[in-house]
Amino acid sequence: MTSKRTLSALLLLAIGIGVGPPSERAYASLPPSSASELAVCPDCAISTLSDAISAIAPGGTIRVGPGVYRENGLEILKPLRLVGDGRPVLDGGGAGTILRVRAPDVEIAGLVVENSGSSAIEDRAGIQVLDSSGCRIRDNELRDNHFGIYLGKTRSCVIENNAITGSGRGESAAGNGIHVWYGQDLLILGNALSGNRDGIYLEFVGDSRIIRNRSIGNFRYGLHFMFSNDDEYDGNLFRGNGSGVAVMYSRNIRMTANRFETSLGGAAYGVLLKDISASQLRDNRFIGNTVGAFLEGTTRSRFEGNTFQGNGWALRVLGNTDSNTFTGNSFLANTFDVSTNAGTNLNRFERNYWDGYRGVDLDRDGIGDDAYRPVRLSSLLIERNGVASLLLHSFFFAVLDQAEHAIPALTPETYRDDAPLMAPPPGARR
Amino acid sequence: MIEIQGLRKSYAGREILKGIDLRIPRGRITGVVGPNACGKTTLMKCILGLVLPSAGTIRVDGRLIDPAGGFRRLIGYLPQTPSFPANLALQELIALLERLREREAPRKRELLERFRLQPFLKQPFGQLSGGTRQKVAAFASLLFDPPLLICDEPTAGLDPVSRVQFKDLLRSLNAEGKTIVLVSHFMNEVDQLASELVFLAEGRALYSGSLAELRARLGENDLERAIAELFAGESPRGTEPS
Amino acid sequence: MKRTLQDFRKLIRYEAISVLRARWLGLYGVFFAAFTFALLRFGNDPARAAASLSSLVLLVVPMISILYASITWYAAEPFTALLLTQPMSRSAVWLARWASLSLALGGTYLAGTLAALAFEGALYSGTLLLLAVGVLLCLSFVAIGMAVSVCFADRMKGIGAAFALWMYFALVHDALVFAAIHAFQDYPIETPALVLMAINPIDLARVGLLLGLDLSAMLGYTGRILMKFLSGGAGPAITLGGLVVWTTFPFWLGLRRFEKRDL
Repeated sequence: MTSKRTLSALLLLAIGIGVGPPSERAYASLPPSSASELAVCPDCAISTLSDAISAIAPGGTIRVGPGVYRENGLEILKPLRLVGDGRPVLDGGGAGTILRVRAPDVEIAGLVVENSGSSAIEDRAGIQVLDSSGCRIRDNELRDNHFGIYLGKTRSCVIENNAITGSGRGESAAGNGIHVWYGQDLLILGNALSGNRDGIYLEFVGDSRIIRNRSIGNFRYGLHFMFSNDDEYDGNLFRGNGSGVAVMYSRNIRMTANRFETSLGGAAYGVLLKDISASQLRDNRFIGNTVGAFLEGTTRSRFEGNTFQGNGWALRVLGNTDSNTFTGNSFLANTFDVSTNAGTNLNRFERNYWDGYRGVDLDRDGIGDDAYRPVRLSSLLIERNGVASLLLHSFFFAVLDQAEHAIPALTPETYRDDAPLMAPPPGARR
Repeated sequence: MIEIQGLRKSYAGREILKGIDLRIPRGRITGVVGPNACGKTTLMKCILGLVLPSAGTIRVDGRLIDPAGGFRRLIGYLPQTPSFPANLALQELIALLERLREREAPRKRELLERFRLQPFLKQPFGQLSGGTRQKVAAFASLLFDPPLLICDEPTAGLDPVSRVQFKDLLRSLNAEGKTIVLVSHFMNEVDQLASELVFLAEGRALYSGSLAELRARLGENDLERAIAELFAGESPRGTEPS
Repeated sequence: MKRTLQDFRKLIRYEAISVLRARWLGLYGVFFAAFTFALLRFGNDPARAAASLSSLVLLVVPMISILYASITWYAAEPFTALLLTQPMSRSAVWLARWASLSLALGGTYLAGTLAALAFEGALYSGTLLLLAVGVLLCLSFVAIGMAVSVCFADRMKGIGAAFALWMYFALVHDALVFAAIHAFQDYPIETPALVLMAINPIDLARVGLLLGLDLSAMLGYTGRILMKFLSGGAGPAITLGGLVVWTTFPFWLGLRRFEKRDL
C-alpha cells in the first residue's frame, strides 16, 4: 500500500518535471548537484542518461521519459534506480556495451536496451553488472545485443520479467540472453528469452533460483549450467531450443516442474546432463523431443514423477552413468523408451509407468507381475547406425523386437523395471 | 463352318497340338473324341480364342479369327465345368450378357421355360445345385441363338434323365440348322448324335470326316470298336480335310 | 482403348456387384473401424494411435489385397472364360476385375477407417494421408496379386507366389536392406537406402507415413537428413506418386501377360 502510494506520488512528480510549464522546465534545467530524483527526456533539461547518471545523488531515482536515447558505454558507479516510463529506447548504435553497473543496489527497470553490436575481442552486453551485489533488473526489453544481461561476479541480484531477444544470427554469432559468470544467491524470474545462443548461461553460479522463465527458440540451450552447484530451477518452459537445458560439471541441481518441449535434431535433448551428481529431476514434462533426457556421467541423481511423452527416445543413457534412481515416471507414446550404449545397467528403475508394458497384475496391487525391459533391439540398432532409422515402424523391426524380447541376446538384460506400474501415477497426463 | 490348318499349341515346351488340319461342316453335329489329355479341350479353346495357338490358322465362316474379334458372336460355348460368380444371380447374368451384346436375348423366355429356370432367376449362383448350374450354362450358351455351338463334355455331370433331355435338345437345335461341336468321351453319345467325327490322339487328328464313311471303311458297326481299331496303331486314314 | 472403355463400362457394374456382395467384406470394414476406434479411444496418445494404426494398415492392407486378388482371380477363371467367349476385349475384363476388387477392398478400408476417424474427430492431414496411403496400397497390391496370378496356371502355386511376394515386401526386403545398411555402414548410404525404400511399395508407404505423421521428427541426425531430402509436402507427394507407379506398373505388366494368356 505504502509503496504503491509513494510510487504514484513519484510518478506525478516525474510528469510535473517532465512536461510541466516552460518556466518550471527552465528552472529544472539547471542540473542540481546530488538530486535524489531526476527526470530525463529528449526535450528535458537533462536529455541524456549519462548527464542524469552523473547528476544523481547516490541512492536516487532517475525517471526516463519516452523517446530514443542514442548512448552507449554508460557507467553506473553508485547505487541508483534507473526507471523508464513509456518504454524509452536506449540505442547503443552497435558501438559496445550500453549500460555497465559497477555499484551495489542498482535497479534498472522499464527500459528498452538495444543494439550493442558484437565484437570478437570484448563481451558486449545490453546491460552489464560487474563486481556488485543487490542489483535488480526488471521489466526491461533487450533486443539485438550480443549478450542481453551480463552479470560478472555478482551476488544477491534479481533479474525479473525481462524480455531478451538475441540478434538471431545463429549459434556462433549470437551471445547469451542472460549470462552469469561467478554468481551467488541470484533470482532469475519470469524472463522471456528467444533468439539467443543460450537463453540463460550460468558458469560458477551457486545457491541461485531460476523460476518461471520462458526460454523459446534459442540456438544452443534454453538454460545452461557450467560448474555450478546447489542451484534450483522450477516451473520454466523450454521450447524449440537446440536443446532445452544443459547441466554440465555441476552438483546438486534441483529441477522441478519444468516443461521441455520440441527440441529436435541430431544432438537435440530436452535436458542434457553431463558429469553431474546428486541432483534431482522431479515432476518435469518432456514432450516431443528427439531425446527427452540425455545422461552422460550422471551419478547419484533421482528422477521422480517426470512425464516423457512423444519423444523419439525418452531416455538416452550412456554407460558411465550409474547409481541413479528412476521412479514414478511415466513413459507415454515415445518411439523408444530407453536407449543405451552400455552392456549393463548400474541404475535403478522401479515403479515407473511404461505404456509399452504388456504384462498383467494378477494380485491387483497396481504393479505388473513381470519386469519391463525398456531397451528395444531396434533402438540399439539405430543407435549403432542412424540410417537404420529408415526401417522405423517396419514389420521387420517389430519381428526383431519381439524375438529379442523372447530371447534377449543383444540388449542388456539388466536394463529393466522389476516393478512396473499398471497405470500412470496421478498427474502424469497433460 | 470352321476350317483349321496346321494348328499347333505348346505349353511350357510340351506340344499339345501337333499340327491339326480339319473341317467342321455347317449344319452337322460333329463329335470330337479321343483319350484323356489328347488336346480336345485345348482345340476347342483355340476355336473360341481362349487359347492362342502357337502356329496355324483357324477360319470361322472363312474369316481368320483374332482374339478380340467379333467371331464370338457366332459361337455359343458350353464349358466342361461351368462356374458362375457365387454372388451373382441369373437375371443379372442375363442383363450382363445382353449389355455385352448390346441387344436383347432373342430366345430368353423360351429357353427359361425349356430349362425350367424361372424359379432361379433371383437366386445367387452360389446357392444353386450343380445340375441347375449346368442348365444355366446351357441356357447362357444358347441365349443369343448362335449358329455354332461348342459343347465340352456337356452331359458329364448330368443325371440320366437330364442327359436324355439334353440329347433331345441338341437334336432339335441341329434340326433348326445349328452347327454343333460335341466333345465327349461317351462313344455311344457321339454315335447317337453325330454325323461327323474327329478323333484326336496325342495331339493329332487321327480321323476327321463322316462317321458313316468311317464305319464303312473299317467294316465295323460299333463305333467304340472302330475307334479302338484306329487307335491300335493302324496308319492314320482319312486325315485329309474331306 | 476406346473399345476397352466401352466394354469396361458394360462390365464393371456386374463385376463390382459380384465382389461387393461377399459377406466377409463387411467384416473387413468393421475390423478397421473397430481397431481405429479402439486405438483412438483407449490409446494413450493420438500420435501413438496414428503410429499403431499405420503399422496395422501397412501389414494388413497389402496382405489381404494381394491374397484376395489372387484367390478371386482363380475362383473367377471359368467366369473369365465365359466373358471372353463373348465379344469382349481382354483389357476390359482385366480393368474391370482390378477396378471392382480395388473398389471393394479399398472402399471397405476407407469407409471403416474414415467412419471411426470422423466419429473420434481425428481427421487431420496425417490421418488423411494414412487413408490415402491405405487406399493406394490396396490398389497396388490388388494389381500385384492379379499380375502374379496371371503368371501361374496352377492355383496353389499362384496363391503361394502371391503370399511369398507379400512376405518379401513386408519382411524380407527390409531384412535385406538392413543387412546392406550394416554391411556398408562406413559409407554414405542415405541415398541408396532411400532408393531401396522406393522399390518396395510397403516401405514407400511407411516412409511417407513417417514423414506425414511427423514420426520422423524424432529420428535424430539421420531423420533430419531424410527430412531435408523429403521436406515440406515432397515426402508424402513422392510416396503417393510412387504408389501410383506401383499400381500402374504391375497392372500393365499383368495385362500384357493376360493378353497372351491361355484360359
